[in-house]
Amino acid sequence: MAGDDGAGIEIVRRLRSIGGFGCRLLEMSQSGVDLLDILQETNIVVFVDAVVSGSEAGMLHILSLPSPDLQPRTLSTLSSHGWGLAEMLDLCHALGRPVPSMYLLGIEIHSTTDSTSLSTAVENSLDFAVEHFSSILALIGCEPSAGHLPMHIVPGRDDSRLESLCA
Amino acid sequence: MQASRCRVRAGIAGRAMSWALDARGMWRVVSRLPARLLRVLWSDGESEPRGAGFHAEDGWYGPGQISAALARFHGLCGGFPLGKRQAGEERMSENKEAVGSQRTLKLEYLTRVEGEGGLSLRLENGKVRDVKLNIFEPPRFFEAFLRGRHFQEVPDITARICGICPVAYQMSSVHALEAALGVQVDPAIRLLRRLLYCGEWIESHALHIYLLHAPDFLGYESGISMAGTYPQEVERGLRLKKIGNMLLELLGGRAIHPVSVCVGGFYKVPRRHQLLDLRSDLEWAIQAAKQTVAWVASFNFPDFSPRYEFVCLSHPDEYPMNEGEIVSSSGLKLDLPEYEHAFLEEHVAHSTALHSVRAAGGTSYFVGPLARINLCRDKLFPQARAAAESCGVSWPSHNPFVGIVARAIELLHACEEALSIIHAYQEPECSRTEFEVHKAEGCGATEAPRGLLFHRYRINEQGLIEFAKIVPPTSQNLRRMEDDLRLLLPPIVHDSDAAIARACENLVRSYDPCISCSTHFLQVKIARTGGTGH
Repeated sequence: MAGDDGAGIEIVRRLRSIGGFGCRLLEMSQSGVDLLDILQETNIVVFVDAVVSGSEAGMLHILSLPSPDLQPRTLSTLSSHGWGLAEMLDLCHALGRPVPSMYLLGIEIHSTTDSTSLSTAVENSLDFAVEHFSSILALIGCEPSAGHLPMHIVPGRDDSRLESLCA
Repeated sequence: MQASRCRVRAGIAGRAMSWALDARGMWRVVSRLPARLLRVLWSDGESEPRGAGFHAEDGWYGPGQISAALARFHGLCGGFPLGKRQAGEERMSENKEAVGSQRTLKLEYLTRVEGEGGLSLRLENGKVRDVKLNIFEPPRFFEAFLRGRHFQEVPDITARICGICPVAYQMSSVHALEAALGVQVDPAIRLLRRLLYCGEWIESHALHIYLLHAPDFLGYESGISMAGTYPQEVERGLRLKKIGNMLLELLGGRAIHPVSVCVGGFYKVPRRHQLLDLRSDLEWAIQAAKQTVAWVASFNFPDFSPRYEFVCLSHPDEYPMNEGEIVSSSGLKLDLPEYEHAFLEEHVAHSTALHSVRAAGGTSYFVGPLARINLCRDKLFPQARAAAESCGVSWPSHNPFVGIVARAIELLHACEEALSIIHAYQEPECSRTEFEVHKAEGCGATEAPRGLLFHRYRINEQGLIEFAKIVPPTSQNLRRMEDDLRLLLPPIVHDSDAAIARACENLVRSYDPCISCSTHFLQVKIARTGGTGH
């Protein structure tokens, strides 16, 4: 019932059904405290989540974290359980724990209200993200030396830009 | 919305609102709800609405469509202006100018409490006139969701009520359904369920103690700021939580919303060697839990001890978790089916969570670790019992702030019991009991980390849920929290708004409320009138 707000989880589920991306695909729907363990187990983490930035619905944002451009929604007081990514990063710093390189694959949504279906724009965006996930990972793997990020892609309009960078 | 929940739950026929008013009022609140969500509120078990104006794939209703939809609802009644009224209150309370002797204080959100809620205080001439713990999270429709679902879906669905205590909902639901169907589980399964519950107590209590509640006693704004000065302690708490998660993952299939629990047992049980692999972690956890008890017992606790009626399960042979009769510090002793005769739920206008009271007298009561320690500490495992006796707290304690010590003792008990179960574990021949499905009704109650959690279900011949009732521990404590706030405030009404808000937050946090559970979110607003305001 998360509607577009569940875009991140939906992408991960679709990717898991395909497999073979050479990475762990985890659903972390809540409890930021549990993120701490994930952050300690790897060198690179890609968060896949819905974002609201006022951009065109369905736009894909690929950027490194932390970023001044987008703040995790869980920073707001509307999160219902546990802490979010921002709080976990602060806790890591307070404890002197190392943090991995982190990136965000964000899907722009316009509505966070309950729904059992995705909007057309987000659905198209999800299809694009799943189809080009290997390219997105390759792009992230090139950072920071390549300097391509942040990148904002509108599926159906900017497809070739992603592919040309990864070629 | 909670009023509608009461009526849907009671199966009360007819409609309590006038047609035209209801449609407009409903539409303001539910216009943002998709059609499919409204469909689940049919009390006759139908999954599809009939009548004109419905568009099954359309996520939105207009007023005309809502009118048609309302004609099909069974037993819904008013309470919907809550959202609008609350918005009005917020606008009013935003005016912080003193009007005559009126004092208004606001605390936008109570931090370090699971979920969202708000607190409104009205002080007049230095006296407390009104205290309202406002819960404004979207109402939980779970009791309605479950109607028409197969009973084996109930553990998985109810687990979604809470991400911190999913096992509690699974345990209460399977015990209720097994009571209805006359199912007896294998003793090994029974122990595995206690082990699963130990895992949840460990992770929930560790989280609350170290990251939510301890900062209050040490003068920190949050567990994050506290971590900078107490990194060793926080790391200890995080590792304890992780060990709890490991138990949940091993027995439940995953740490968040376990998937292996079913009516009759488990879909899959662990191998003995898998459990034995956790021994070293649990041996460490026992020592860490002892340190936790010693640490929190050294805190300075406010001198605040109202007289409570403590309520919890009681079992003749073990510390209460999954089974037992209901007892109270006032001498109450009853079997689970009598719960609804002794405890009532009330709808209050300022909250989307129901409030529980004693049927006799309408008084509040107290559930949770403090209740369990006060009433059942003789059933604690040895090291936990010794820690309770030597920690310096005089039991029974009526100080809600001492709840952090009670949680630490239970943390130790859970670690001890988990290790004991693991040592004795023998893999059962079958992971679950076979049974016949028939029309039935039954109830169950278990001790969630935050207290007594009651479920009741009725199923038809096909095993589909016809009726569901879920009473979370936090909603049972809400009235008691308000009563406590009324007692807490008089000595501090002349303090600054910030100090009052902080004191109120600290008190509410001592209950470890899970507001997401109780609403199936805390803004503190203090309105002052009278010449003693700031």
